[in-house]
Amino acid sequence: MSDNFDVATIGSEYKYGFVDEVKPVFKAEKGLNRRVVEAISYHKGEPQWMLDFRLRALEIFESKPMPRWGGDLSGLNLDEIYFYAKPAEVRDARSWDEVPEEIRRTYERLGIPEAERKVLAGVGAQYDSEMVYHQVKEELQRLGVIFVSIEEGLKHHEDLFREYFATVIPPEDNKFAALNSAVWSGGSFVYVPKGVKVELPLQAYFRVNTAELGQFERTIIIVDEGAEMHYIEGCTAPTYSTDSFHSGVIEIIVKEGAKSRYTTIQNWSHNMYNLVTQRALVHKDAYHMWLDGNLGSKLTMKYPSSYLIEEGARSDILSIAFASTGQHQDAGGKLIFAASNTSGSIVSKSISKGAGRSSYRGLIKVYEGAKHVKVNVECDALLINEESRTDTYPYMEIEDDTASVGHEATVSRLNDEQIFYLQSRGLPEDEAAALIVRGFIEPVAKELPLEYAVELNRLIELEMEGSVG
Amino acid sequence: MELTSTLSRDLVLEVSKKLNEPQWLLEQRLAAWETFAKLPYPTTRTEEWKYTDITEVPFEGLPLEEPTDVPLRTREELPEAVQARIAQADLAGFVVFVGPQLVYAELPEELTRQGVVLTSLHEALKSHPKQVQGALFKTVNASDLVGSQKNRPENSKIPALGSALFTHGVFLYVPQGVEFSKPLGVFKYLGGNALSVGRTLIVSEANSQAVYIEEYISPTKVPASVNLSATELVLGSGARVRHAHIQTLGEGFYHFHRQRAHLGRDATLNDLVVNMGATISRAEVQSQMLGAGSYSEMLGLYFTAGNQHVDHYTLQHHVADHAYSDVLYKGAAKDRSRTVYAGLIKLEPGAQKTDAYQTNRNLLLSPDARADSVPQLEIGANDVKCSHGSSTAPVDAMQLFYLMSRGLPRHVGQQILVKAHLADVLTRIPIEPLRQHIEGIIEEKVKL
Repeated sequence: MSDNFDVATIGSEYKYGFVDEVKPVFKAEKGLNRRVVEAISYHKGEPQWMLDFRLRALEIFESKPMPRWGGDLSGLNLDEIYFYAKPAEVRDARSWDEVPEEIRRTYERLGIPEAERKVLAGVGAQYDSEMVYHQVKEELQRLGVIFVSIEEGLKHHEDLFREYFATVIPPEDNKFAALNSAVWSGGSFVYVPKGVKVELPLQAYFRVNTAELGQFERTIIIVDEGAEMHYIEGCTAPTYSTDSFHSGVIEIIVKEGAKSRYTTIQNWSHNMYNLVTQRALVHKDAYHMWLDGNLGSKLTMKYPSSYLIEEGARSDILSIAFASTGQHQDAGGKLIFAASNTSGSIVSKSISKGAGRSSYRGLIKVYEGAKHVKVNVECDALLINEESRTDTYPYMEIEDDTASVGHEATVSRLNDEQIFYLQSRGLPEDEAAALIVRGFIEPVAKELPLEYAVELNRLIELEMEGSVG
Repeated sequence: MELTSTLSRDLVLEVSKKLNEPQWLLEQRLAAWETFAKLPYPTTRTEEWKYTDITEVPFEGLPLEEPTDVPLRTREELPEAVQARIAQADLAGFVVFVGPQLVYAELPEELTRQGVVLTSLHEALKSHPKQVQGALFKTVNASDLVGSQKNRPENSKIPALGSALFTHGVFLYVPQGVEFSKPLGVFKYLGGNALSVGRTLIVSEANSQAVYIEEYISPTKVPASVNLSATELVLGSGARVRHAHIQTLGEGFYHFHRQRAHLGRDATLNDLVVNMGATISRAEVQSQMLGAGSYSEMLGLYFTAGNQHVDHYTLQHHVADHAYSDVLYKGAAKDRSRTVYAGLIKLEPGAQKTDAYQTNRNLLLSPDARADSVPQLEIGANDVKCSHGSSTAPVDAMQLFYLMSRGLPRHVGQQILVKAHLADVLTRIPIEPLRQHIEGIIEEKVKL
């Protein structure tokens, strides 16, 4: 991948903080009310059932209290947020040439079109509230692979859409899932037919440009029997003095014998509240992996979850978090075992630097009657500076006596002895520290696509410069 | 809960008057009553009570077990269960409570001569007013919540009730530099069918050493009864205290215990909490490392059967640097019983060079048993070693297979493995008679 395609500028030097001179063609009034919801639905030309769904979700949102746990949400003022901004008249273009010039420049700056040519099977790009581009390689289209914006999915594949929409994450699930259900806009609709193996990843790229905007993408991924796919989500935004808000809902259905992987590399600017609900239903003998990288944002609360609902289902969650001063990464994962002979693992690695705070929050639930479940959780936290913080909140609810459940967590600092040893072998202190940090995240980083892993390593090196000693 | 409550502010006034308490204590009680009255009961929507439903507990539907004047008894007049414990326990000295009354005391001359006090809290209010006033409510009070618990003040509801209405208590005082290693014991015999509220205050001055065991005993089955207990431990610098709380109450009891230790510089606490009885029991066991170099070992054992529900919460609160804490809670659950463990290691900024460990291991012995485990860390300092582990599993199939291959029937093999699981904790209790007693309880329960 080219040099200008940076996955993650961790920490202080945020290189995606630039603002584009793009004026939305339509922006809803500030704040959330029935009119705003109706306006969103109108601009999308939706069927009546969807508007009814949105309005019901709005009621649910209003009836639910704000969470009393997790990160500090007191700075999130929903009255000051724009819930919808339509960047251009064109939606879901098939060619970059159809994308308005100034928006296209942003994606070129981020290196997306180039990456598409080289290493991806398909690309989707969301700008503010709408998907501006979606394309998937021709041979995959011929095999019946659908990779379009969620709005296109609703318009052209309504039966398939209705069969799955809000079945994995209903609006009642939590306050922010209800919010997303009311105002969702953008996101991908993916369907991989039976037995089709999509070798290269599909990538969706999320950009928020308008200040004080809330982005509420909604993604549905259906991996049919025996099929395989890998979906990557990347996120950036300009650095404004006011806060922005991102609250996505991702629903994934992994059918019998299928394999899927969902990778998030979230590198929002440090003024973003990032509250996302992601859940996969994993069927018989199927496998799903969450690879969740949280590097940006002011506060992230995100716990990807897998529901293992039929025998032989498996799921792994790999989580990596980096929190520097002013950031709170409240991340983790949930594995729900509702069938026999299912298994899974969670591996979480977090690094806190400066006054940054990273928290692991997780749930392992084994239902009564789910026999011979095996699950293991490992969370390791690395603290770089004296004022760095970390928390671990793992919940284990075990209702079956044949389950084997283990959880281990450690907290450590950069080890002086290890640095001293590496220095004695001739490495400068900064390099030694970077090497140790790379070693620390290696179990997760090795699962990243190569370009991302290389980039992450390079950035850790940069970040560790001058942070020790 | 009930529309007509058996509890009231007047009852607080009445209890305090009956006990001839000084004004400051009455004021403390009334302040605690205000806290109790304004807070709701914790529900399963309260994070710390997520897995323990107390809607069926008749906190306000039972008569308060009120103190009356009864004469001391002879050893032979004590309840048989208590006599049996005394005979087995090999203690240096002990006191016996039946309900709220101290009915028997035996303390060796040698300890009293050195200034050691083991008596009822109300006796101590007369004989050692300064020591009691300085320490009572110091560790367990309405404003003792730590970290995010502060967002959920209902966690203070039940302890506030305990502070407002305690009818009896124990006071152990060990003067500076005085050491003894043979245990002192307190036996509390509860008849049930009442709300019983007690308190223990342990003050161990600088460089003293003490061993203290508190046991709760009752008939094996009682009508719905509530027991509230609070234990406050204040350890001066260099003090070493071994403390054990052993609960073997009968079916029908709801037992709620909160204990908190303040550890001074280089102080050492070896704590043990054993919950074997009661229908629902919850113990909140907390150590605050306030002095550098302090050390807190916190052991827990539980074994539930039938419809029992046991809930443990541990807190290792590191305020000072260079301190050490280690939690090991192990348990087993059979039949339809449930066990809950939640624990928090909390390191304040500045608690550098801390070593803190937390382990919870559960055995599930039947398909309907359930274990919930939530070991938590909140770490605000970086030069520390902290880890926790939790596991929940059935008895190891390989080990069971081995034992069976040596000719043991399955159920015997299973019993051996359950005992071995709990033995990890037992081997860390150096008081031989106490260990044998607990082994006896496990032995009985495993065979049921």
